[in-house]
Amino acid sequence: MIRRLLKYLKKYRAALIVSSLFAILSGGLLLIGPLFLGKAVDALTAENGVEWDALGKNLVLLSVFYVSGAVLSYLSPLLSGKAAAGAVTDMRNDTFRRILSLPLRFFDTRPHGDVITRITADCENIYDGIGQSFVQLFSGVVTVVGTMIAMFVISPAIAAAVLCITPLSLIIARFVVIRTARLFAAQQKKTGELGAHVEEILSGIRTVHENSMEDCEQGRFEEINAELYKVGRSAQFGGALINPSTRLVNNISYICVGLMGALFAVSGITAGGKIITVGVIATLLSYATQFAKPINEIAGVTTQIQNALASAERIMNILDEQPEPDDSGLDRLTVSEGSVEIEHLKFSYVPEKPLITDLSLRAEPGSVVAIVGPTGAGKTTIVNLLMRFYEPLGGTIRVSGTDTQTVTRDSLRDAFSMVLQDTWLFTGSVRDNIAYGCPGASDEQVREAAKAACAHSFIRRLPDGYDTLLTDGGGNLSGGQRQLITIARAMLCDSPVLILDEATSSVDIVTEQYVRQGFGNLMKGRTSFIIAHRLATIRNADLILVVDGGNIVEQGTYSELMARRGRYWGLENAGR
Amino acid sequence: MTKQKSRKAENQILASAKKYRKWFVIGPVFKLTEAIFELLIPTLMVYIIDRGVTGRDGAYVLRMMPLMIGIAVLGYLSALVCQYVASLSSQGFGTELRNRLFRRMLDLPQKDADRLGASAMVNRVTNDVNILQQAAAMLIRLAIRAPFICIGSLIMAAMLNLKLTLIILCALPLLIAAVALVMKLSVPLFGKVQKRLDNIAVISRENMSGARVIRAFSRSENEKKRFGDESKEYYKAVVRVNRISAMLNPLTTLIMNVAVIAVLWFGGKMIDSGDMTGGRIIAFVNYISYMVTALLVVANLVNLFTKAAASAKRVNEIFELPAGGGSRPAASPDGDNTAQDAAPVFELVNASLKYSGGDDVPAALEGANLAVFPGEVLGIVGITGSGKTSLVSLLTGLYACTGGEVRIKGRNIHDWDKKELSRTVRIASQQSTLFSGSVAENIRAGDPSVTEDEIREALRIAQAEEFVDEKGGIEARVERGGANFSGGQRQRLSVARAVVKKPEVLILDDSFSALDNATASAMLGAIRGSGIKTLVIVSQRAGSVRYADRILVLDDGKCAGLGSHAELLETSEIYAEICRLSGEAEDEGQAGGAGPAYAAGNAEGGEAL
Repeated sequence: MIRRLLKYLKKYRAALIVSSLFAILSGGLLLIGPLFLGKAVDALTAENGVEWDALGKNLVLLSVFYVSGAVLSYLSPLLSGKAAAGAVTDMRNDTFRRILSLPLRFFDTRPHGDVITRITADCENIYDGIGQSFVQLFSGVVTVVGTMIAMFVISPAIAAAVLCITPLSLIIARFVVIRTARLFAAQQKKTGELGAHVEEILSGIRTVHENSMEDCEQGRFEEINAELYKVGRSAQFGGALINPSTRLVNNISYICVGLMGALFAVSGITAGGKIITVGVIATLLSYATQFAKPINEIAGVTTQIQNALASAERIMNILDEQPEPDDSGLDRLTVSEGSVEIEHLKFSYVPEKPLITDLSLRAEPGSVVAIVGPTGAGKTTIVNLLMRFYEPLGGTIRVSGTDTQTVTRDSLRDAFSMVLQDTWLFTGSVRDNIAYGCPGASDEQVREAAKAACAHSFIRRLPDGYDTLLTDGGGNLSGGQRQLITIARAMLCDSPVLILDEATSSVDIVTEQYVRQGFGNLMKGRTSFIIAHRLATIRNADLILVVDGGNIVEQGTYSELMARRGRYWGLENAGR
Repeated sequence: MTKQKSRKAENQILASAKKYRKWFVIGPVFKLTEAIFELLIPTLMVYIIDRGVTGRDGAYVLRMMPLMIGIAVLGYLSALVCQYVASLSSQGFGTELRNRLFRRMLDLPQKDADRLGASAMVNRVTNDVNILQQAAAMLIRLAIRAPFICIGSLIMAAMLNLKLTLIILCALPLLIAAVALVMKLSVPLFGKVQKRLDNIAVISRENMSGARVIRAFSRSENEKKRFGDESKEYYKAVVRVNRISAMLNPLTTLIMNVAVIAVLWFGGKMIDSGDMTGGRIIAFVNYISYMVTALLVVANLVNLFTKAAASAKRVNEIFELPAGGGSRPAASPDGDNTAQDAAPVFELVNASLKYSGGDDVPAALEGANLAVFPGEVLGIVGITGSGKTSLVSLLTGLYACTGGEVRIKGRNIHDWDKKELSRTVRIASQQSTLFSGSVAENIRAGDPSVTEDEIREALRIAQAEEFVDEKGGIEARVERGGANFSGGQRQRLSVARAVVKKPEVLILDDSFSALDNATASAMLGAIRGSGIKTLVIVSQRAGSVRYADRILVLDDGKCAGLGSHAELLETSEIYAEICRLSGEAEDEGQAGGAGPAYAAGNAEGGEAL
């Protein structure tokens, strides 16, 4: 894990090494500072008046230390931050690329929110972990160890006292953090629960109004809210304890250093062979404050680094997913005529549950093939296999006489125009959404496609017409309108085979009629596959396939099937 | 006027804090006590050094020890009191504000709720209130303390030596300027970073949900580029903001250290002339560092309060909207509640509904006139967007008509108490929204007077008894949005919810679209036999309404025909067209034979995998 992380950092190692070096140097300067401060104070409080030479010399040295310390402590996190941002950006891009090369099974089975979190929040965690915490940890350790050594050199007794007291603050902080971590988690959970409840009720606000459920829902909300108050209060108080508690410990160690130093000075106890002067006390006091600070920081930093490692693991999980095999070496599919043949197709999503066991069909160029059947019969699965979203377990599919396994997936998919029942729109203008399949289309072409899809009249009425920005997957449009835009998108693509999978399910029956006229023009000379629930819309198909249990149970034209009084006839009579 | 409005609304936020008013005084008082104790420590150290060390008085040093530790402990205890008060009152304030805000959201007119959208409202109840809550806590904990430490240090320093304080007075504006500059430059940059990260999330989400379409159109390379570009912009933004924000600490420390050097130099001159002691110099240096630390806290506070102000504005936006939905006192029942059968149970008089104000936006419903009598079955048909749902939204009072009038039992709908209205007119709406909880809770819909027997009867009427029993009876769990029920089952549960209290008027808004004909007609029969007299059936399909007493045909927001099936076939072109397109199968009517078992039930949704 760490090795793989390091691989990403390798490119930026120069910046990281320099950054660490700067961190050590600035830590060192921070240590030397108080020493010269003490000397300066001694020069001030010398027995025979102020020693101006010594004071001047020390102050000049001090300012050199301070200025270079400031520069170094600015550059160090800057460099490491840049390196970390670069490494994380690489990692993020790799993750995204890997995701795009994964088979569709990944998208169908993984919760989308979880994957998105990995690309956003987990990458952020890693950035925080290596970019900031790393350097902080580094300079923190340098400061703590250095201060301790410096204090021991000056006065072992006082250093020992500080060493006894200060870890107390660490222990207190640890204790409080562990105790409150549970409370914070509980608060987080309740907040999530409250958010989910609010989301559910407010998205169903119409139903709440219609059934005048306001009082009841307010009651339920107040219940959760009251629970949130209880955990929130304790968590907040627990969290608020840390600062004053560590401040108390720091104050006590500050007082102890001062008092001990003063007592030693009065009683003439020497430290390291030297008399303790006011300047030495000043130095010690300065070290005492410096010593405590990073200790508290390190506690926070270690959890951050732990988080980063956990996040890195989640990213690596995705990078370890098996991508679709590379097919760049294969030929591109060239389509001379749009025939589609399926022979002895075998497929299942889960090995234990065979879905398609032996499916064969032939669609003549320019014909219209309708696929009907009950929910779960495998209609959409056939589309998945035609487009090679999923790979068959056996059998062959030929488009224009070519086995689809022998050509690149991209070129195969170029041969199809497709409208799915779940309408997918991306953030962008209406025009961009329609032109998604062929970005070079002119405004005129886009408008024509929209007209053929009966989308032109409502698009014109949108605030900015074709330039209206669609957000939230087209949340500002109705289901039918979204569907019409995806239909226009398919209409714009000039592909030999057309697939309509419940393409007009959200469109009303009259509009559907017009859309079908548009499709009629589009389908001329093209092979099309239509999956539909409303049987009325597919009666004119050249071939109707009734699918159930993954296989074709009946096929023929409308009149043939009606005459046979079999499954299709039953479906027609059941109506909807 | 806007000022007046915002003041009224602000009261809602302040009112939520009112209960905790005293804590907002007590908390800071304790915090101030702590700050004073803290400020005393360096001064006491002066005495130890000047009198103890320089004066060689060991007993004095020992005497000071318990005093100083006592002060530190007392300071700690005051801080604890303050922290406790702060968590108690800030959380209490947030809880109260959330309750008020949620109540107001529930009471918003549907029009405003639609316009705002659920996610915007959710953000306000959660994120914005959280920020306000945090700001309240910080107000108690730090807003007084940090400036006090700043000023207090300055005063203490001035008491030690007035002339040297001039150095601080020179450094202070520099420090403030440095902090302000860094913040001014970095805050908008942080905003940009967040925006970029949001974009990355959006692209990722779209690529997850659109995987099929992206592949179908072979656009993977473009998506990679789109993501790569955004990711690069994000990188640049992060590096840019780092460049600025990393300056804060080194810059302030440097300014402070320069001040310390100046203090030492000029302090030296004063010691020379006997105006200053070594101990005082040390204390002086200490106060400077206190001040810088406190100043950084103030900077963070300014940041937090800026954010809180934005949140307060967003929360106030909700409070400023008129609460339309709230229940009105019921008009005294003056006899017309028990209207004679001859009087219409509801009437639309020239009723219009327009969702947005623009002149060029056509009305969703225009000049609708209709009177329906008790016991009547009314069908409403029309294509998508013809105004069917708008019309029934007027009947349930979800929307107020923008022109004309709606009368229920002879009384203007505005004069009805909301609860009473929903007992009289009930709708099973298109969306069939269910809430997480049990089946019983969903059907009860917040009415505690609904008995278990009534729930069972409602399920029976809605043809839902069988599948509810299969799921484990009326206490069976309903997942969020009814996800564990199919579309047809959700429709039936939503009908059960509407019929449970036997309303006088029942509206079925496209309630059969996922049901097979046999189930639909059984349900209709059960409803008619249950004592619900007046029925309104809304549908896109002619088959579902053909046996209604009268059918209203809507087209482009206007009434385009009213009459029986046979009459309309003759007189209304649209109706005839809808009938024709609905297909012959539907001409056989709802009583048509039941199909094979697999075709029955839930056709909605298609297959996912």
